[in-house]
Amino acid sequence: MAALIIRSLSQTTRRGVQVTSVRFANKMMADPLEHATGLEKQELMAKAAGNDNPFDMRVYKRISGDQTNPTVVPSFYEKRLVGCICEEDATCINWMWLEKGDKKRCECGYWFQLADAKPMV
Amino acid sequence: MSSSHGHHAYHLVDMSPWPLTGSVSAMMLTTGLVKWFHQFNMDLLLLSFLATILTMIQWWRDVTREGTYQGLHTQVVMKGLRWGMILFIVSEVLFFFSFFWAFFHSSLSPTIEIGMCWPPVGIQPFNPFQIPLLNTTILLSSGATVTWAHHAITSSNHSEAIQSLALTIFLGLYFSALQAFEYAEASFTIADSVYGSTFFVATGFHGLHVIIGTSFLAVCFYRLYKCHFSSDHHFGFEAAAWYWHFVDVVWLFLYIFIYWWGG
Amino acid sequence: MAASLSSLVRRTITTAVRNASSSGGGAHAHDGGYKQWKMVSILVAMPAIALCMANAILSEHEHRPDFVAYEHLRLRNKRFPWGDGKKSLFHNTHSNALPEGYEDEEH
Repeated sequence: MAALIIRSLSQTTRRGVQVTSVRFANKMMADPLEHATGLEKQELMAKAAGNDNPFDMRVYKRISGDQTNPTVVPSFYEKRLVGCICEEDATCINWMWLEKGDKKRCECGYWFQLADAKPMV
Repeated sequence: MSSSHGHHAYHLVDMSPWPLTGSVSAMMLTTGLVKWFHQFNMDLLLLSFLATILTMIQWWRDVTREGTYQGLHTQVVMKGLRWGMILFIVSEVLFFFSFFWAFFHSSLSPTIEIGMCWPPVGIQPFNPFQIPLLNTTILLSSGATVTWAHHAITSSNHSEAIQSLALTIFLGLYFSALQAFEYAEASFTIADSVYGSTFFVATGFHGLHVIIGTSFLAVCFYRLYKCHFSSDHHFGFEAAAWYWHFVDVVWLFLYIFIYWWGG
Repeated sequence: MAASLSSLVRRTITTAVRNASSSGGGAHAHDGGYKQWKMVSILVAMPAIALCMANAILSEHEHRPDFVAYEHLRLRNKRFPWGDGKKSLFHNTHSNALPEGYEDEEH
């Protein structure tokens, strides 16, 4: 009797429980990309198209950054807040407003300039 | 789509009255409790229940609208929601920590008034191997079923998810029913020395959290049924599952220290 | 006793199930990962609950202790804000004595 129970138990576990739900097919859920909407969907579509950074969230690495060759900061508007991490292990960020047209110099000596950009939307 | 959303990944929420109604109802709840205890009048308290429930329903309905229907929950927004839920659960852990502190304060060094023993003289505690053991098994099992549900969702299997989440909710209800039965059958009450106080405050708040967790899971069940979730994006469910595991862990501490060690 | 027995059984079956499933369907962690938890839920959790239910139902009820008017029990420093203020929220007439004694004389 015990052997019979143990045998049927081990057979069930080995076969997997899919056997029991063969009667009615499992309803599946929608594909995540199809399911998404709005901004989230745009983000997912951009990622699917290969753009890993659709909202331009990365920290910009400076190039030379002197007056003749300022670091270009894209902006959708007439001005944008820019935060300069003056040195790699700086403990604070130096924030400044960057307006269209004027170059601006951070206290550490690096220059920034605004450039036009289009938002993803 | 409105131009106020979408130029960045973050969700700057629209103006909403619910934070205000929420704080007003919290104020009414606390004042209502005082009024009930000291003037034996429940009106303000009952009004506060209504206000709190209405706030919760409409606030969380709005979050669902913003996330699921408007698609405003991008990856970074989800990350913020995750942190929020984690921090909330941490605050709940600290809440229960205080009741366990009170329990250990009284039980590790029982005073002369209660007979210098724990349980105190005249207290007949619950046998931990009867209904409390069943309750432990029920909650641990519900942890397995909610994990089953999560895997079903990540596998996009709607039917399995529905079954397993329904089972989880049933187990939660079963636990609550059994605890209510235990409360009604207990030989001691909250007024029976510090034993009664620590026991019923700790297990009582836990029971309340089981009811909250079950309700959260029930809302997820409704949303699952209405296909709000996808295999990649179902944070509401994850939050409910985290909360449910937390409730389970608190019970394990209650069971081991209050029911078993303290019995 | 019942607890250690049921957890021993639980552990044995869990190991058996884990061995069976890891050799069978452990390959795709993303699709079908629910099968493992489904098996644990049905084959381990449900029997454990059934065992505990049987144990709880078949166990004997504790004998009601005799009433002793201890000062540290049945405290009534402030009346309860419901009813006549003398009974706790989950008051059980048979099991809970009032400060004066049990309400029903015979046990």
